[in-house]
Amino acid sequence: MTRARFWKRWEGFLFILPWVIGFFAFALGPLMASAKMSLQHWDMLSDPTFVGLQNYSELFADTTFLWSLQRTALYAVMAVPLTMAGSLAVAMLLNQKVPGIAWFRTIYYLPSVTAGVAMLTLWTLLFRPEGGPVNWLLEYAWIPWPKFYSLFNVDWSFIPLMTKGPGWLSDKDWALQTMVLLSVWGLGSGMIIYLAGLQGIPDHFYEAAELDGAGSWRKFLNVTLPMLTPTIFFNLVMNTIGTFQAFDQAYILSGASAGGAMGGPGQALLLYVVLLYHTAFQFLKMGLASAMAWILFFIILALTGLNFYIGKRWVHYD
Amino acid sequence: MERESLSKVAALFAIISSLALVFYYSRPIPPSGKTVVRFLTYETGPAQMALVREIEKRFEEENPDIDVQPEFNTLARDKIYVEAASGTSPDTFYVVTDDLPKMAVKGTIEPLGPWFEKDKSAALHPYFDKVVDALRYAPPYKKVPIHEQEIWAYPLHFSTDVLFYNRNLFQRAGVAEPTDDWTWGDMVEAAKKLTKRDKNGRVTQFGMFLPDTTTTIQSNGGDTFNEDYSRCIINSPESVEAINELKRLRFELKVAPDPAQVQGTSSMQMFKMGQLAMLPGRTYMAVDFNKITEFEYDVALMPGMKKNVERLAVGGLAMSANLSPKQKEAAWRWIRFYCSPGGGQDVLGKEKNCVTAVKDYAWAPEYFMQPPPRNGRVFVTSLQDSVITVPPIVNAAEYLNAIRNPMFDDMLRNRDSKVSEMLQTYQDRTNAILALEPKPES
Repeated sequence: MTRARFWKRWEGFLFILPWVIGFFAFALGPLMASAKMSLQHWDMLSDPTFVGLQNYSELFADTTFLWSLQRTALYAVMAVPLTMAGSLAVAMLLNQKVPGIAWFRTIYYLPSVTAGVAMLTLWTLLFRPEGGPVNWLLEYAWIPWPKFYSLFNVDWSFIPLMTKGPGWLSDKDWALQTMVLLSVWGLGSGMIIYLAGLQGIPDHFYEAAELDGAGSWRKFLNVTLPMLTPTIFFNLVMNTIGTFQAFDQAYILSGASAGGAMGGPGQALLLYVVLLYHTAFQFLKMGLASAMAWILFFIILALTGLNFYIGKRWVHYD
Repeated sequence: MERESLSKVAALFAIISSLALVFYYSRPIPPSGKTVVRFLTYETGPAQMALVREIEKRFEEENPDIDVQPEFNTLARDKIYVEAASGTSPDTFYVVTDDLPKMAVKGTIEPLGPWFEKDKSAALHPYFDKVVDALRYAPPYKKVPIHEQEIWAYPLHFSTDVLFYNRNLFQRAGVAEPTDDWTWGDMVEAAKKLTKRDKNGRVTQFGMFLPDTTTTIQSNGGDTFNEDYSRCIINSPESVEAINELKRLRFELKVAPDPAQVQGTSSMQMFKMGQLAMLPGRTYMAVDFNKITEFEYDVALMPGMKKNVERLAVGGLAMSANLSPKQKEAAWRWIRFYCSPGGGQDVLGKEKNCVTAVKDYAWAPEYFMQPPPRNGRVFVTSLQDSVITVPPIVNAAEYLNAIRNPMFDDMLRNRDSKVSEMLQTYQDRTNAILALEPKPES
């Protein structure tokens, strides 16, 4: 083997070496330790005791744990499709050849790189039920209408938002939905991946479709979507993982970071990782928290596996 | 080509190695021969940090053989536990009453009784008895009288609930200002007169903010725990009545804001903006309120429903149990200096965020009693009716975060909440936590 070929073979390994070193030094050890801890009772201050699978059985009998799992699943079911559809729509808009498109792309990507805590604090102010700009707009643009319709002696109050702006983050029936809305705000990272996918679709596919008389909608359904399936699949997998690991949004919006009650109103924002954090660092139940981490890992693994299994039927790589 | 790739890899390694070296050598290295004492505190405000630095400087001038290394961290509590788990807990640290039982039972902190006995220059008599008692702990099942319980932290300061009020709003509404003999009824009547609405019926100024739920229950004759903290007894007619009274203030009389009206702001912010006439709050708020220029504020005793009960929080300095004898000696000298008259207590009074635990200093006109507020003496007199609302149990954090705070929040958030049913759930869940507490050895 020539010297040049030898180095060619090894240079790839050298490039990933820092990550590999990092993984073995900082990730593998804690990973194995957490697996061991999940089989122990450990409060960080005294010696751990082996309890077998007791932590796991305790968790599945704990209503708070099951509640947090349910809230997280609900959040994922709402946030994943909405974020994916939103980012695809914006990516399509930003894939146009119009003047100043670079500026538009920057603007839409900007929320993804701004500080999360600052943005969430700002949103909390915007969504203030009393005197907040969102409800103010609702009040002036939408809510007066029932007064007009009341001329016909119809009570419109059964329709949400027809009489009063909601308590976006203070009402247990609205808090999670508000968080879903805010997750759409950070669609920039998904959008940039879709944009790359869209730009990878050869123009001649569209030209051929046009020759066959396809309109915009037909081109989207028969060219764009099939060609974009690997990108959609990637975003679906990453978004699913991300929503199950959501922490900072729920933690800040619930007010827990400012001394508020854990999980916010009616524990509506008690997402899985928020409960995990409290279990580990507030209640000092490291064994239980580690078991939660492993359960989350297996849930994500199962969902990713399911995605891959179903993905074989609708993702086209050619 | 290969050479180019190799140089990129080499550059990457050079950067990583340089960073590692920079981090390694940026550690504080103690001057040789000195005993290092690490000190972890919650204080992160510039003014507070400056005071800690000043105490450190004065201490090191008097104790040239010791090098104090302060660490400022708002998440100090989490840091203590994580460092204790890894065997690197700070030598000395700021603690509040809530954490003492767990730390004492688990042997994380050093009992200070023997040190007070050994060191004739240290004494507890200059401090308020109640504050000292709050830093004592023995497992409740042992039924040790409070004064005989071990002390786990050097007394530093305390804060109680008092009633902050906006004098200008009182004068404008023609309402007499609160006095020491004010009753709950007086407060509610004043709150009604001080609540202002616009032409659409929307509240523009609230009479008051809801007081602490636990102490309101206690002020009505109810209680959360039995005497030895072996059982939760919160579901009583007195508790139901107290919570319903708080709901009445919020939903019926509408003199106190509901959660929707507070979202995105805070009680302190509302008070500072002149949107709140009365605020049951803690002493530390005075630091912020002293900067108000738009109106004059004052403080009064917080009236209870049938008797006055104020919430008490106490802070002190503890030292790690896992120190060498030489380090323990140095750590003791540091916490003694920090908390003693003539030492740190001389410096800390410059920022009145808590009342000093030293009796003479707390009453000194040039120190804590210096206005504003005019009626600052209630910061100290309220100590008499104050109680610690956090139970002396090992799993206090779980009780507070998983039960008390979210459940009270739920009860008071909804007008139609079924208080008695919810209190029963509260009671059952709390009893489940109490069942996990250390038991007498059989």
